[in-house]
Amino acid sequence: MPARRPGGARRARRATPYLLIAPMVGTLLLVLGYPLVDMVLLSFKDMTRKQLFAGTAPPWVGLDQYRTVLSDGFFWEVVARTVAFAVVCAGLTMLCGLAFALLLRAVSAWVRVVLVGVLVAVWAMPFMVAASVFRWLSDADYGVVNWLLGRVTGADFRGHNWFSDPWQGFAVIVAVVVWGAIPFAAITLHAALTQVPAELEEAARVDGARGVALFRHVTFPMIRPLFTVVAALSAIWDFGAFSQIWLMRGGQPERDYYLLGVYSFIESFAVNRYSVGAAIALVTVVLLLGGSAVYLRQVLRTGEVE
Amino acid sequence: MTRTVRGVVATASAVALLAGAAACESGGGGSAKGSQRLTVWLTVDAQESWPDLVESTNTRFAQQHPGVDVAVEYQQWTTKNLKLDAALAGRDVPDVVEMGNSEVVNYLVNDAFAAVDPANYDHSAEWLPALKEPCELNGRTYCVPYYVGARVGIYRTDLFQQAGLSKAPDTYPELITDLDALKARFGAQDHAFSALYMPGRYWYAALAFLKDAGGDIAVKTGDQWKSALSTPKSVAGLKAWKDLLDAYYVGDRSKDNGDEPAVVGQGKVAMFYGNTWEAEAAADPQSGGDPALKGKFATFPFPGPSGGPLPPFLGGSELAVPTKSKNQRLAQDWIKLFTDRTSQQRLIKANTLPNNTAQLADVDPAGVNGSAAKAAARGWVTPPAPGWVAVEKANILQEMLEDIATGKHTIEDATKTADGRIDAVINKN
Repeated sequence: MPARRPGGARRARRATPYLLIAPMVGTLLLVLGYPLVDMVLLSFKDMTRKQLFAGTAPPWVGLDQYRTVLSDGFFWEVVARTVAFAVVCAGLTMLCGLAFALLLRAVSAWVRVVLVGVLVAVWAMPFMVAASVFRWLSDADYGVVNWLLGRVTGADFRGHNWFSDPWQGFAVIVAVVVWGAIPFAAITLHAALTQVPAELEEAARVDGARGVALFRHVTFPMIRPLFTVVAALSAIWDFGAFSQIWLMRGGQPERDYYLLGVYSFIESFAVNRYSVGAAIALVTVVLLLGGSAVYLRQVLRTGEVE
Repeated sequence: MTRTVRGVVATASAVALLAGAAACESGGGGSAKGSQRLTVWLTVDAQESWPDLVESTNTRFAQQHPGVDVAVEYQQWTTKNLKLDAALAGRDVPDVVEMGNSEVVNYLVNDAFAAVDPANYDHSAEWLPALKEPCELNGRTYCVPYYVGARVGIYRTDLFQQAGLSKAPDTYPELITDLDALKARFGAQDHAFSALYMPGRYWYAALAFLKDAGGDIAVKTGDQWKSALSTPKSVAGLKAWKDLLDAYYVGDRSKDNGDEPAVVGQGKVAMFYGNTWEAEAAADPQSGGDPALKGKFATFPFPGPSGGPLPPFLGGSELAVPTKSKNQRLAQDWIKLFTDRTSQQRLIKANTLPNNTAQLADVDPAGVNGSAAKAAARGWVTPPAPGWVAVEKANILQEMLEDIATGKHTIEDATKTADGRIDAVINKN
């Protein structure tokens, strides 16, 4: 607690944090708050192109859109697929990210520099490019993956289509998502690992802890808060995955490839049922809020624990 | 937990939030403002194949209306409607828009376009029904036919010769015999060789077989449309298509015909069903083709199993003036020039079919497009139903055909599923 100061200065000091955060809050309200409110309202109306073109107000229909959406079996199928997709992607991202982070700690300085350079290059690659590259790699007629598999296994992979079976198709999509997400996880976790005091691990080693046990009981607890935050963030991002699927299915995803984001987009802008699309998007937001609760709790807790 | 780790957490979270916020940004296009500026949205076809016609129309327009600035903006088919919807929801709208004849109906029923008087346009009494009918609603006309294309059979003359075939097939049995000969001659040595290129999602081709068998995509009873894909005749047509595909196509079945010229340009295809310009594109390196194939393609009216030529989908374009345009008079004058007799002559030269039956006679019957002109008489269009555009954009037909082509579902099951999905949207605005 600082020494007492005259009242005016103290009030100014108290106001400073609010002033500092005001631009961010203002921007968020503008770019996220307004569209969000608009979307909530839209989901309780029945908006079609007629109202869109004429600029007239669409009729209120109350909970009708939600009733339609929530009573549709296909919607729940998409929800389940989206959750599974997010869990698998986030899980793989964290596993691979952690492995890379540990590797970075173990290798010599110049290898580390090269590895970090590669990771940053991957990170810097736009979704569009990455998705196109993976799409070509797995192309049925000209893809190098089929060629390589044919070479390695001796089986005939010519013309094998990776996307005709959604399990295989999602394997490719998960690969591109995880590939793009590893750098963030790896670099962040590596940063956390560098903060683990060397004396702590040394002491544990003196006490006889080795390998997995050392990592599990000494190192990991030190980085767990950050690990949880990155995992939650990955899950949230993967939950909202859209562009990878859209691009890899050439802008025409089959129903087997619908995740919530794709479903909402198709309902809104292909079928022009704007209100149904809004309702789906809103349910998505609610589900995401559930996921964010974990993230927020962790952030709050890291503030408390010392 | 140490202070530094907390710092890392905070920084990481902030970076993540910023990245998230940045991802939410979206680009938007708008059109220019001002009463003496006419904004015209054409698709890239005009830019690629007849830019001089756009140029000359603008010159003629400038003579009639000095001081009016015409801005032509070229749009991609895949993103045009999304941009148009966004523009129409606002105040700054284009004054002239090119629309596909299968997507225009939904805009008419939603009052997006202003009525035009057909009497002002050349040959309007002889406009092709495939272009005229989608433009009509409650006895008034809301768009102007621009041009149309019909698909034909295209084959490699050199491969035909090597297989001992002297001419293009006239009947369906002849077609089958020829394809068998091509498959025997080339398919045996090269597993990637297709006697006929027919990817599974190529719905314009598959539905041509459905039409040939007397089937329908959807039928109207009273004022309600109902999908008819699973009716016996429709199923029979799709069966014929599937048999052809099974016998002569070896490539990826879940593709559409989007990169057809590039695939044909690889040289492992003897025959395909496509637009006449695709034969040229297959020999043009700019579209992925092989220049060595130049002059090695010829066209023929693709025969159907029923005995006549396979009824082609008449895919065409219309020009419309949005209701919100502030320059409707000028816009109609521009369209008048762009679609008049002289302009249509230029379009015929670019291997398209004209917007009217009178000038269809001007298409050289021996030329590359002669087959298309012949087949056009049996042409069909997609159902002029209010919700048809949603059927197309939701890829219902493509998915159904992919399921049939890959054998994931039987024709009966796939068509029943598609019927259900189509019925859910086809009558909605």
